[in-house]
Amino acid sequence: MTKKRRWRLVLLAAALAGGTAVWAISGQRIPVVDEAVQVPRLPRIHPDYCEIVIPPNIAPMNFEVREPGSHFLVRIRSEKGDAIEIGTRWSRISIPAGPWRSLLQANRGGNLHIDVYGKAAGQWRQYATIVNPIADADISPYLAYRRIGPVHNRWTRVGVYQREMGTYRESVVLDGASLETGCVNCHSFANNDPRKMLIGLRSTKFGNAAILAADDRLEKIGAKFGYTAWHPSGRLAAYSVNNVWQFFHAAGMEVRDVIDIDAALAYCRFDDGKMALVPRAADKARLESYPAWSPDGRYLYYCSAPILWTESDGLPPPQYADVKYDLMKIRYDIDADRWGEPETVLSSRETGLSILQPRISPDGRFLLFCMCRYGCFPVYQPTSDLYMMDLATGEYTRLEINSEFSESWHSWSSNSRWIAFSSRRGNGGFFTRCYLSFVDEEGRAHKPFVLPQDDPQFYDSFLDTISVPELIDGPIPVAGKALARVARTDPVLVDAISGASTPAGSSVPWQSARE
Amino acid sequence: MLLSYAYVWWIVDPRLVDHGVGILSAYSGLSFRMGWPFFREHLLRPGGIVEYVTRFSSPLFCWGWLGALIGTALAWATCLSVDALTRLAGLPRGIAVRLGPPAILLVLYTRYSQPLRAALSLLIVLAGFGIYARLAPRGRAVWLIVVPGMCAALYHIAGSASVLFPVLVAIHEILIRGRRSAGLASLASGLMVPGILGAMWFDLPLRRAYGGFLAAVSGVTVVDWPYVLVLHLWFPAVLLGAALCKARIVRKAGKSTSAPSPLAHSHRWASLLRFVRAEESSRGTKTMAVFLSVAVVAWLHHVPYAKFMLATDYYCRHAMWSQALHAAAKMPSRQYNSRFHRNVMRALYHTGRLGDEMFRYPQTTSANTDLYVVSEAEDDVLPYLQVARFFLDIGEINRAERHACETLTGTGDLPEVLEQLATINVVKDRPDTARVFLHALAKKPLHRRVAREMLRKLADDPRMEDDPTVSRLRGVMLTQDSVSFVVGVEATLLRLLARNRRNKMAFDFLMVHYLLTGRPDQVVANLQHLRDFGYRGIPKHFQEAVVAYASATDDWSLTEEYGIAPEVLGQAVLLKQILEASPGEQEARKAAIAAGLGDSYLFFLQFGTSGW
Repeated sequence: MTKKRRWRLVLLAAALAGGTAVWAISGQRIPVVDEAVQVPRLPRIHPDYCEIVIPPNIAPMNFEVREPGSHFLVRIRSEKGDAIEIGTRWSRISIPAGPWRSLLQANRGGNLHIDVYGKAAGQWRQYATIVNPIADADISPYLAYRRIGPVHNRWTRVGVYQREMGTYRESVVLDGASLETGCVNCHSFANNDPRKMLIGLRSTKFGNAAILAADDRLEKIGAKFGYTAWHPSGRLAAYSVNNVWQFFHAAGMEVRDVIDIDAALAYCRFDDGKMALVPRAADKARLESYPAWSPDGRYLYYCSAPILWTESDGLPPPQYADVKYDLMKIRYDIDADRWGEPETVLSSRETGLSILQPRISPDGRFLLFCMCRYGCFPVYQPTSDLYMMDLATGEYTRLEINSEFSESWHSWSSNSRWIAFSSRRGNGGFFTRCYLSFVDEEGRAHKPFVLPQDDPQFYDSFLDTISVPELIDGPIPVAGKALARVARTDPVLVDAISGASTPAGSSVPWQSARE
Repeated sequence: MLLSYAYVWWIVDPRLVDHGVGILSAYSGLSFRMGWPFFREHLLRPGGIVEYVTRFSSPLFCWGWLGALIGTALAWATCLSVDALTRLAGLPRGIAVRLGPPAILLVLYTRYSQPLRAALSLLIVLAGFGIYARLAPRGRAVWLIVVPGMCAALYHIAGSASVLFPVLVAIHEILIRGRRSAGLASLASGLMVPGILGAMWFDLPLRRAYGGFLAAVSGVTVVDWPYVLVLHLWFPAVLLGAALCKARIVRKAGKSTSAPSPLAHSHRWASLLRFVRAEESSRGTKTMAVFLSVAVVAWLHHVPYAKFMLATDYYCRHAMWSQALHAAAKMPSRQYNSRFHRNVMRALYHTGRLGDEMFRYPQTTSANTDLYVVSEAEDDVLPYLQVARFFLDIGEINRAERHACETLTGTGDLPEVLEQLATINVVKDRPDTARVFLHALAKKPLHRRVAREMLRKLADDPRMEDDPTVSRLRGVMLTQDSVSFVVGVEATLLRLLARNRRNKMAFDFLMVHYLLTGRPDQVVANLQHLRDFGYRGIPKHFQEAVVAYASATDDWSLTEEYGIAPEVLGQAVLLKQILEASPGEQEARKAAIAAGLGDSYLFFLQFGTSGW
């Protein structure tokens, strides 16, 4: 190649690069849209962030404009502060983080207006303004959840993750891969405090156990913690011991189903290491599960159903679709370590549905729970919906935020104003995603929105499920490496209730991963 | 190189290397997705750039000629790298050592591993070293700036394989340039880089920060990692050896005395040295000898099981049923297992030869359940993939979904599984779920067109009523629910037939079930339905079942009623004679096989296995 020709090539490349840059920059110029045609409806945006209540500390809610157009302009404004204007050739709207944060913080309790313009066939169109109230109350700054593939029996990819709500930053809390073949699940926190955490784990090599990470304690407890609830004092945790069997449907939308063949409640006092069954919530004739403490720590709420079968009925028992859980509560005196008598809060006979996963708001006013047609595992039940009970009156209502698909695994923020929950909406009922919703003083939950991601098309091709979302008040301080190291050690406490620490074999379905 | 290209293309068949990704090794390590987020994710992590290129290039092996070209190009590049190293040490090109890395790569391809990432990382590091050697920096800047800087750059591009860079630099500085302290300082400063960048900056475990290139990821199976280790060690070893050799030559030349070295006393060693050195022997002879050695090494490491297993599965995956049977027929019976069985039975069904030829392949009384369940001993994903295909074919959509999901979680977003799950969800009237799988599939460059076409169809009609596959599957899909822990084969097939009386696959496999469970009476009872499924005559094995049933009930009128072929009746007589004449079962078995009865149902019924 001659020197002259080489120079020509360099010049050509430079011209191409320059042209591309000019083209890209010109697309981002803010156009004049004074003569835009008004379109009297809201624009179609994806994800659906229209008419929602926005947390003032949430990451930019990037979206995609699903309207025809070669250029788009989005103006995000509120009463105070500078408006954010984004002009682009692409339908994907990326909101700059700094201005977004400033705008939301300056307008707590106000409204956020989003004007969307699209230029199609040379004509600008302006759609009706999206008006989203900005809540006065922050959402918890972190979310801990489980990411897992659409597992049935194999548990090769599963992990507990945490996500900073003000950004898109996601980090691993504990990866199942660190236990070779392992499943990590049922993470729980005391009063939304990331410094008091329990994570259940099932490993073929390292046994079934729970990791306690509380303040400066990091221990492996040789107990099979099922669904876990920390006492508000942080001194003990109640947990369920479940003999769960997974089975499969030959037809119908949902393939998977599970049944508790036996279940009981137990508790572990961390100060003296005592582990015992909850005397009146470990009935051999009933299934007890899903413990949840009242914020004052005086009552343990839980779900209970009669065992309808005998051993000779086989597995799954033919009555599997008749199992319906009642909502119960039992009094507990932490100082005397004394339990009271079970009381029925809400009977399945009254509702006609199975009552599951009670969670009480930290201010003690509301009890959020699921109800579905039958069984113990609402995430596999398309009929599962969220209900709110006013604890002062005992009245409950089905929330308007439900969809035709399963809603479950809900948690409260520590200020009782936000809930995070799992829902299978938006993708035909197959994948579980995390949704957030504002709950006002009257206990009314507002239109939910999917956990925002940097890429608005993220969920369109995301093949994992995000479940058991737990709102927490900060990052989990224990490093994943430390958790994994402890998970691989021998347990310090071993209970005789759950037969824990026996390596999980694949022939025991209840130990396999579930959403 | 031409020979190498021809060997990889025709003998190894790169299409099978591509097919093996996801089966022999996890697909997730080589999964590629288009788009900025995926690229950025790789751009930001150590070794991510090479990983990205590997992920992009690996699927290109689906075109055999291109895969062979890439494989040969890599081999050629490693060859040139060895040449460069020996030249750097002041020695001429050495045929024997230069063909080592290509031989290792050839062996890996012969074993159906995909060493693309390992080879690319290595070549990047060698290129980096080449630049360093050309720049030949001097002074303290070498170990203070140049080596750590280049190490950091290489670590970011190629990952932990970059630990070879300071090793090569140290050898170069100490033995070739004679700067011992600079060499040792470079080694120390260079080796610190993965620790600082990997372990401290990127929070990687120290083991991965330094030895990540030896971890079983991205296409190379666990058992093949020793080859990768040897491949990486080859280059420092060559440079070290060449430098020492050169030093020895220089030393010898410097000595005026003719005192022979101890080695020279060894006649054989001297001959070998003379042979290896390019200037002292015939180039053609050496080339031939080395090629022969490489061929022998490759042949010794050839795994026929893997080839036939992958070939059978590959052909079944692409509905090339006759080729699948042809590939399976090459498999020695002792290595025939459920992975073959599932494919062979499907291929026999699709070629319409199930009732005539199934006993030409190994069959046992328990083989039938392999089609429907994955045993606990099968801990890889292929059985799940195969069972998913079978269930999807036959109309057990929920079971197909379950097994496809197991494959997805087990190996990653394998395009075949994404397509399967998209189809399943369309059939189940869940277009929104299908779209998620199709959008994931559309991010794979080679499957983008298929995914977009299906997305377009879904946009036009969410039920895709006009799609023949969807219509067929909806027609056979179970609609009445039942739950169970254990798969009851007969109950399953009867349910499928109750759902759709025209489900030929369910009918054929019901007959297979009756044959394999020793129930010729049920085969006879169902012969009346043959015409409903388009049979013009009675397949051979069904005829044999009639003979077996007639013999058991002593009702030979059945043979006339069903028009049993004389040769089938003759076989029955022959088998009876052999049984009567043989002193024991083993002798009878051998004699029956010798008489050509090994592929008959009568043989299976008598001995419990087919006589393949």
